[in-house]
Amino acid sequence: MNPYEVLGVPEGASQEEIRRAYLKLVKKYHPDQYRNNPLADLAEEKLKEINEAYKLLSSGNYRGNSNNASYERVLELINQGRLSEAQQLLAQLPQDTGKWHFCKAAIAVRLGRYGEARYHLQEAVRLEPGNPEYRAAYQQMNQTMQQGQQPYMGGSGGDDLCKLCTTLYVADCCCECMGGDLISCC
Amino acid sequence: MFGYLRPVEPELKIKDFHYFRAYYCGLCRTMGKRLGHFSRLTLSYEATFLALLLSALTGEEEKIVSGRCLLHPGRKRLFAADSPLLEYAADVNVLLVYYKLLDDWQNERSIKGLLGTAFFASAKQRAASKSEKVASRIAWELDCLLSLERACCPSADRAAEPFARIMKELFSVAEAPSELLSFSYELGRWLYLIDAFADLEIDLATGSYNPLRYQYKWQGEEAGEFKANLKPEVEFNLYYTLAQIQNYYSRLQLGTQAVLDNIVKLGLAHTTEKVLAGQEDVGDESLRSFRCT
Repeated sequence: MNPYEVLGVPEGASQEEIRRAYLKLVKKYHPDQYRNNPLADLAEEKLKEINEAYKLLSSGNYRGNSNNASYERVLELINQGRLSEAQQLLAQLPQDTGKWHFCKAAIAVRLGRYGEARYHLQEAVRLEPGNPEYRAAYQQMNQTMQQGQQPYMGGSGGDDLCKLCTTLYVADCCCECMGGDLISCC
Repeated sequence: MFGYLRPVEPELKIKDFHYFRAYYCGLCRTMGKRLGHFSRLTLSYEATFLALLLSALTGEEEKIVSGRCLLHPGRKRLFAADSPLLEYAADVNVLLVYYKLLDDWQNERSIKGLLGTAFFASAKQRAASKSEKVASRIAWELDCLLSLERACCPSADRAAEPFARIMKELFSVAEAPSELLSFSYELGRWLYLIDAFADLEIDLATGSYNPLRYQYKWQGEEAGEFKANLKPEVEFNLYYTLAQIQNYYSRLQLGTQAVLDNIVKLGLAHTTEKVLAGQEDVGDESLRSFRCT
């Protein structure tokens, strides 16, 4: 979760702006506004998120470093599907390692953020070119992408192996008609 | 975000072409009856696709009737008969177009947007009162999108999420299999991304929000050059999403559905190719783009 995006303020907004945005959102998503509304539980969730974001930003030390996070724990959380927890934990770890980017990519791909996932895998491979795991994951992603990339040719098939074979076969038949032979085995 | 989800017409058999058009015209007619004749101007391919897919999924036999169209009274044509499904698609269609116009007005102060919202306000009211849940969900998600836009969200992936969730909601009918939900989510992502790429130059010129501008840190360089530089990454993202779409689609096991197969397997790839190559004859053709010959 990016608290700035939750509150809808640009990064680096002043405390006053943050507070104003916060109050406005709390009013908007207040349970009273959502009585007998099919979206009541969504609103409740949203309000929780808003409160959390405000707590993070108003305390003034967002991106603080409390360090009891480890990559093992992050990967474990990812495998359990607890992605937002994994993300929060990951934010506390140093960002310039291949492992960090690899974890980030693993989260992104599960969230359906494929562009981000690819970027982080690229970074992971760039930082640790020797790691086979990162390389394999990167290749796997490219392979999947190619499955989606079957161009529509507008109906006109190009030259392919099939066409080559039939051409040769026809040429051979013609030669045989004339008494010669192009391909001796058939 | 309209006009991207269409069949490749030359690849359709005549009967399938007529079938598609019967749905297109049937939807138009249902909209006229249900939401007023003005609403028919909003007719889009996206809602037609929704109706086609949902009807293929329920497997109920649809009735095709022959009749005359108000706009083309000369010759009789085929219509998919009124059904709860078409009525739902009609509501969705009006709601999507209305909120798109509202968004245009709020973001770009476009006069077309303002006039459009005023013009379709009553149709939108009618649709919203009939499909309340979908209407409030669309408004909700567009609100999420707005706060992302205000924060200048620097990720196309994240900016695509509200719209992806809208698409998922549209297909969340009773007993929708999980593959359908994933399919529609990815489809929404694809639509948002391709629209962002297609509109990039205009957005840069007018200064309205476009995630790609912030993701690839536009510094005021020439728009065409900027677009060419970020193209490979957008291309990857689009085709990867397309691979997911195909995957979930094949798992839906709809049997033979010539029109749907055409749209999903050929149409999407074709549109992607065209938009990436910078051809301009796709997209944003919500207002009566289909040739009603």
